[in-house]
Amino acid sequence: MSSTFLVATFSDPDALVRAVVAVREAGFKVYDVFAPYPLHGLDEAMGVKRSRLPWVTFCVGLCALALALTFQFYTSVLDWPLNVGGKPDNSTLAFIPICFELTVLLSGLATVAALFLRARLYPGKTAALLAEGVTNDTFALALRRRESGFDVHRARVLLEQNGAERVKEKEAEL
Amino acid sequence: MSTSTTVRVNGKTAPATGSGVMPQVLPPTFWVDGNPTFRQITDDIAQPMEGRPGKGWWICFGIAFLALLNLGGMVTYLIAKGIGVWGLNNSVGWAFDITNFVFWVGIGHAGTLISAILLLFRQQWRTSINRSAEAMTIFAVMCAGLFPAIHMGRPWDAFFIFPYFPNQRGPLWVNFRSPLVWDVFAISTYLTISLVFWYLGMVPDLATLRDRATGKIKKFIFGTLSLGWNGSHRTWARYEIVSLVLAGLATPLVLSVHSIVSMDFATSLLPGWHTTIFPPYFVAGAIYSGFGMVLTLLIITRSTMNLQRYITLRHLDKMAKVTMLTGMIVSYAYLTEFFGAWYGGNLYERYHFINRATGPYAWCFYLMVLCNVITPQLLWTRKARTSVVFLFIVSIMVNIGMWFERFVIIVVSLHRAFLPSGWGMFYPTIVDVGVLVGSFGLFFTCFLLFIRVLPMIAMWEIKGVMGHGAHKMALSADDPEKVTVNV
Amino acid sequence: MSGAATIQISGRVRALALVLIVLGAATAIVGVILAPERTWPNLLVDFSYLATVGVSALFFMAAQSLTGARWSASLRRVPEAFTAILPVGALLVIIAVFFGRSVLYPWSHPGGLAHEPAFAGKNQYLQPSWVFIRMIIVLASWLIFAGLFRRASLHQDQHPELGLAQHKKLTLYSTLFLPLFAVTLTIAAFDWILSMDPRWFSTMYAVYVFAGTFVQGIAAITLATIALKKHGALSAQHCADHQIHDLGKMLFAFSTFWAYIWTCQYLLIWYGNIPDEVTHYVSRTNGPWLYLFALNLIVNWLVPFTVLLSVRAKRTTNVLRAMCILVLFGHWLDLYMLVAPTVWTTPKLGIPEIAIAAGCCALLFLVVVRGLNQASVVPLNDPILAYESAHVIVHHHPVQRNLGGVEQ
Repeated sequence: MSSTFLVATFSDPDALVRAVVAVREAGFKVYDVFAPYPLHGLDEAMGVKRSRLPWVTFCVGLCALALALTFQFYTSVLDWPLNVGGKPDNSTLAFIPICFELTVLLSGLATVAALFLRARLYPGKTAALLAEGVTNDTFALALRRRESGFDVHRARVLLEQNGAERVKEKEAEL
Repeated sequence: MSTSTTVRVNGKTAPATGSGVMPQVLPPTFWVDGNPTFRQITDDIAQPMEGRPGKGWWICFGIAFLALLNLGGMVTYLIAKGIGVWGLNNSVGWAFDITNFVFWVGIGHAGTLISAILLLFRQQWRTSINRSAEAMTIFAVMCAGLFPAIHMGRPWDAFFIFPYFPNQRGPLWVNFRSPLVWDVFAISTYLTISLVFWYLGMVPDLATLRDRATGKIKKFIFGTLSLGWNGSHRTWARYEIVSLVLAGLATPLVLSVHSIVSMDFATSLLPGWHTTIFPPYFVAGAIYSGFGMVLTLLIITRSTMNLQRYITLRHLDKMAKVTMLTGMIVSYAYLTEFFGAWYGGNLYERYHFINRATGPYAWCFYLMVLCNVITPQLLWTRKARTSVVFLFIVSIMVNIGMWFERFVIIVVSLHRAFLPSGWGMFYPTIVDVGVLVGSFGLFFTCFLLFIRVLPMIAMWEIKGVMGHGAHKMALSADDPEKVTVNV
Repeated sequence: MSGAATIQISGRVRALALVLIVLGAATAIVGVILAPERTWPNLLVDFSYLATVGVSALFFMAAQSLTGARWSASLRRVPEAFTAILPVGALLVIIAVFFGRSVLYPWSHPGGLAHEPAFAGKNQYLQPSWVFIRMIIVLASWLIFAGLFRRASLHQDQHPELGLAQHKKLTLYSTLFLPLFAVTLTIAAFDWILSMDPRWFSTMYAVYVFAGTFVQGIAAITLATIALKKHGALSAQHCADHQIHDLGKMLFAFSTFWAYIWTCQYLLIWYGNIPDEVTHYVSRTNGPWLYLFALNLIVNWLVPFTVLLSVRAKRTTNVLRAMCILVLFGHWLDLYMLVAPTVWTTPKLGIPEIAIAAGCCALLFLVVVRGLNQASVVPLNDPILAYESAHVIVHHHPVQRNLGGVEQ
């Protein structure tokens, strides 16, 4: 479903951060900001909450640890105990390296997979670019135009007052 | 520049001077020369991928590719004939193969150190070099992975090293207590996580390239690889967190990998192998050799690709310092080993170290000492650390030294272990040397292709450093010379 | 900043500290006379503890200076104050090693190394006179560097025009100190602790002691920083949340580093299973020692690691403070586990142990407070701080980003 956005472009990232603060103070909701690099201070200015993705790492890590430990225990103690070099069947100490590696491997892969899912990034996706050059040197601020209660004129003036170089309406599917 | 220079202490404004002299200031170092605009950064970094390669690149690529062809030939011959074509014998059953393996894994470590550990330590100088260092890691681990595979003699059975379902061996599993199995897990995890980290870091840059690509094929490839990235800040916020998480995972990972490699030796009972300092010592050695290789690569590419603005002499200076520090840690480990052999009173251990320094392979040992103990000491002066030619020579010495370190540890321990009747010598054959040279061919071919088809500097990270307020202030500071003095 | 002391401690606290010191000293003196076998190991543990916290603070400063760290510039006085314990600690270590030698070190008896093969270097290395000469050199080098650091640092306070010169001087000292620290700490670990059991050694040993020592220093510095922040001596400008966060990260990282070294040493010796080598772990993992052995790993790594995993915990001063206290106790236990099983057959944790340790804590507390009061709590004329305070308003957006990552 596509919607209409009011897109303001900036060349100065600091001006954009100030504009975000001003727009939010005026009661508008910032839909998103588009930038060639992660802008510092923008999380707070936009009110973006800290991502909960590390929880994925933590949970998958715990599961991977348990899996690695039980799997090694099962194969070396229950399924086919084998005396190698006189080591005890349950050599927990010697299982640590593989436990660690599997924890890192699975939690790392899961975190990245979760990021791709959450941010809806996948191969073949057509990038919805709201302004030209946001992957190069342009910074864009997007407000979503709603059916009611969205004063386009006021928003436009506010953005222009706060250093926007161009303000355009654009329809896009995000 | 603002003039508010009083220092507030305990709520009171302390008279910082007493005589009205302003305190001297030390601005943060900035890591890009010439204050380029964002657009210019994109253009500069994309330029090696868009123009035609110069003569220098073609010459390097030609040599590397020849070496790669040689690798193909050698490996084919090796597999056709069996590993008897190597110089191995009953005393020395492991030589160039495992030496090369440890050497290449070690090379990879600097990449992860730069991309992960320095990220956590907020060392901004990593931004210009992390991409190429990570690429180096991946190619080096690929080269390393080659050796365990070919040394099996029957590489088509290589899947036996993994536990798998359904288990064709019946209920017999791999031995999870074996350090060689740990190695399998460590190296494959390392390669996977490094690849993912590298690719993830490249996604925003791939989007930049997609948006400036003119050709249809390029647009399609970059479009597919960039996953529809559109610069959304909400994505950026998550992306940064995930980068930090991956850095946090990669940091212990990189320590674990070479520790586990060291345990291939240290869990045995062989004099010269069984010693507890091996894990941290191998890690330090790996970082040392890796920085040697990063220096070698970057000194060449920064000038051939016109990237001196981003990979400055200050970067080389920093890298030289890390090389020096890790070189000294390695020297400390050598000393501890000798001290242990002398102090401990184990006859075999003691003989091993005497043999190391006076036996038939003593020249390897002294070459190793020259390259790994003495050479880093030449980096004490700033002049040495910022002389490109000198650093290049040092970096080659480091590479040679670290290869010989592994050779000394492996072959000297094996060739005269406990029973004199089991002593012997190892002499490399043409195939041994050919495969070693060939692995360099594989490595350099991959790296040279990488700098042609992918952005070798992280554009978005450079822009982040440039756009950050502190950097702007540093640029506007009246005396840029003073900034470079920062230690 | 002369004049009134910045850290006021109430008379009651001071009195309590003095009482603890007197009690600890009395226990030590009575113990040395009545039960030397029980007391000397305790004194060695506690006095080494004091010395290592001092030298660890020195190493902390050197590491910060060499990495060009800017975040810790305003906190430099805290590690400096901890180095003030070094003269006392050095003296106490000399007392413990010299006067306690007949209880602690078999090599101090004639024929103590008779079972060793004649070619073993320990026969020469552990000649008593050599051990003591090395001890003097090690401690003197620490004292000299502590003095040099402190002098340059205070000199900078007085002379704004020498800000950069003193800064460079501190960097130079750090560069020289680092290799020296590696060698001297190795000697200290081998001579004072490892040599109690001359039959055993491990090449990792000094690295293991270093890892524990560094965590101890980080925990002590973090604890003091939090106390100063709560006390109001360090303002929010000079001790911001992100600095506390950074200290928390260091505690987390190096506690894990310690666990890494712990695991590697244990794993390799367990795996090798050589009779000469496993003695160390056999005595520590049998009988009641096993509980302390496990507790060591739990308090030094498992709990701090799990608790400090989240960003929020690292920024919450109360949580971080609790972890610091735990790790500080943990390092004591770590030293205890290195020393005690060599001389005792069963663990002894009673009133003498607690009294002497409490006395040492109180001594450390008073010395550090005194060290802090000797100079401004925030270094003056530090060129990094001068730059930051001049630019703090100019270069910043209204809100500061709370993520580590790329920002400096």
